[in-house]
This record gives sequence, C-alpha cells and structure tokens, in this order.
Amino acid sequence: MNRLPVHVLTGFLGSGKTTFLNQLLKDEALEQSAVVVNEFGDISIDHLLVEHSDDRLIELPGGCVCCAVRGDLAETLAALLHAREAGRCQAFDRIVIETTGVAEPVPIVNLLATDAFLSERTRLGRVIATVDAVNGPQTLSRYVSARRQVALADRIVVSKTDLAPIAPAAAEVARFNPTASVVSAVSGRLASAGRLVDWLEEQASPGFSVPLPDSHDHQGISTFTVVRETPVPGAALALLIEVLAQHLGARLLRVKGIVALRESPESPALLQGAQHVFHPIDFLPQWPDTDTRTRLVFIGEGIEQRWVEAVLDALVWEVDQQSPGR
Amino acid sequence: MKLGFDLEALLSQSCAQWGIAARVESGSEGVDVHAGALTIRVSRIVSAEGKRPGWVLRAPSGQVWEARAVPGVLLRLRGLLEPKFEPGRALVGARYVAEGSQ
Repeated sequence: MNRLPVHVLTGFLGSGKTTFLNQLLKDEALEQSAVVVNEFGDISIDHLLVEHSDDRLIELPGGCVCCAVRGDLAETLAALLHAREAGRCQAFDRIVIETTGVAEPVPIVNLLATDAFLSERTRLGRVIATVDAVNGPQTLSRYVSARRQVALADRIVVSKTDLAPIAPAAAEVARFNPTASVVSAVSGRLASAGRLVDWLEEQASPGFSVPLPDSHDHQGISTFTVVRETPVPGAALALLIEVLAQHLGARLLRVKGIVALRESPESPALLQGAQHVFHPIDFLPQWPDTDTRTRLVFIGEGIEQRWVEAVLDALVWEVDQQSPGR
Repeated sequence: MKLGFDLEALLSQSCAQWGIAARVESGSEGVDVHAGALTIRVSRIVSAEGKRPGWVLRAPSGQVWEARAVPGVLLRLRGLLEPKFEPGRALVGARYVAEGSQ
C-alpha cells in the first residue's frame, strides 16, 4: 500500500505556525492536504484561523496533542483515512498535523509508528518547526519544549524576517539542529526554497540536504553523526536499535539516517526513531546521490557519540563472527 | 583482550554513558570493570564443540553470568552496576495497537 505522508508542523507559541500553514495550503501543489489542528486552552480559536474551509480540516480541541489527546489523534487520523478510502470526503494525498505551541512532537512521531492501523497507511513525512526571528533566540534559551521542537525538525521556517534579521535565530537553530534545512519566511511565504512542495517533500533521505553535523552539545542537546564506510549487516542494525532503546530511552530525541545494508547495498535503508520507538524501515530504490556511506544522525540529551560507535563496532564484529564464510 | 573490536573501550564508554564512575582494565583473561566495591570481569568464551561462542561475566565471589551477545553483556553489566536500572524496549513499527485507535 502506498502510504500517505503525514507532516507534523510544530513551533512555539506565536512563532507563525498557522500563518505558514495557510501559505502551505494556498500552494497549488499542496492543495490536496488534510489538516488536523490541535487546540490548547478552553476556547478553540486556531481552527478559525486556518483558511481551509472544507471537510479536510479537523479540529482536535481539549488538550495538547502530545499528551492528553493522543488517543483522540489516533482516532481522528483513522476516521480521516476511513473517509478517504470510502470516498466520503474530498480527496487528499497528505496530512498535516499542526500541534499546539507547547507540544512535544515526539509522541506524535511515535504514534505514527506504533499504531497498527496508521503505520500501515501512513508514513512520517517531515517535521517542520517554525521559529520567530524576533523572539525565537530568547524562546529557545528559555523553554525546553521549544528546543526539542527545533531539535527534532527536518525543516525549519524562521518567520517574521521582515521584523528582524534571520541570522541570530538561524544561528541559534543551528546549535540545536545543524541538519535541518532552514529558510526564512515573511507572512508565511518562504523566501528562498524554490517550490514549496519540493522543499517539503523531496524524496531524498531525511536530514541530509545539508552537510552532516560535527559532534556538538548545546544546553544539554547533543547532535552527532555516525558514519560508516562499509555496509552494515542488517542484524547489527537491528541489535543497535535494541541497545539504543534499552539504554537511552527518552534521552534519544531522534535518530534518522540512511544505512548501507550489507544484504541490499544498492537499496539504502531509511532509519527513523524517537526515544524507544522506531518506524518500520523503508528502503529507497537507489541511493539519492553518489555518497553511499551509512550516515546516522543522532539528536539526544546526554548521548556520547563514542559509545554509540563502540557499540556499533562491537555488534558488526559479533554478527560477522556468527556468519561463517565471511 | 584481543578481539576484532576494542572491548575495553566499549565497557569504558558504556560506564561513561550510564553515568557510572568506573575503572576499566584489560587483562589476559578479560576486561575488569571496577566500580565502587564491585569488580566484574567480562570475558569472551571461545567456540567449543557443540557450544556457541558467547560471553561470561564473573564476580570475585565466584558468581557467573553468561550472555550470548554484546547487548546481553551490556544489559547484565549495567544491571549489576546499577541495580535499579530498568531497560527500555524497542518498539519497531506496529507491534502493538495504541489505545483508542481502530
């Protein structure tokens, strides 16, 4: 089954999520989108601001999508997909979830991987975070949830760049997430990303449209890349996932990467996980470019690159020991 | 201990990752992990007839724990050094149906 991309639009309060969403929905190539808007607070208002006046706009009131209404989100997405399959709503070929400003995106990302119905029909698209050029740097230094939103994102929109220069916010963003593609926006319109749909949905591997990050640690969030020149046995990758989940748990904010598997060196595997939850492995039909190395980007709290590398080396060696003839 | 990877570095890095202050020393019979009053020797069991290669962890008291593979070594070692440790469990894809979904 061709799985629908589900994009998660996150960003701190007042950072321009809804404005960006409205621009996104005006794009002809993205018009076929269903939108789930999460409200936070006693009076629902966000859905009134989204200019998408048909049955593909669904409001999720009553709490923050990352905690209280997670079950509601699963039900809402399932209902939306049932309606689509039965032809009971307008056609759509992607879903966008706009979270509340205080939401942590990890539970949403994990829901898509762990719910049997959803994982069969959908796949995680992009995590997009909006950051306000005016208040963003301060917000990032002050609020953990804002840092986590940025750290997890594949795409970052720095908004309100007509009011403040992009550089301070972009520099702050790069400290937490050097792998994300960052563009500026004024009134939700991106400045320099070419076609919005390409920027959002290009089929390259996740997180590799910019140079890979060197290891660094900023305010407790560390980012590093594990690179391997030679293909990795599939069993070693599976064991690595187990070890990461066993020992890191919630400290692993996100791991994403492209893996040269020894069993299928021509078709790279895409790995995506957050905390202890990993999405089913997707395979690309071919490498997106000439770089055929394994590259795994880790974003986490208090995770040592040397430990991850030592574990991977040990697992590869041990799997090889148990594979006679190698 | 000569293997195809650096066991001493693995155990040393693991203790650092877990936040456990430990001294790790390589010897001819394995790698010793000293943490507080506890010493655990980690050794590779070479393949013998009818038996798969694996790992053994020993305490000076004579207690022995076996592990089939590296993940088991790390779990056992951490459990010994950090008794309250509760390992996480990987969820890959849709192994369970979230509450409330259809």
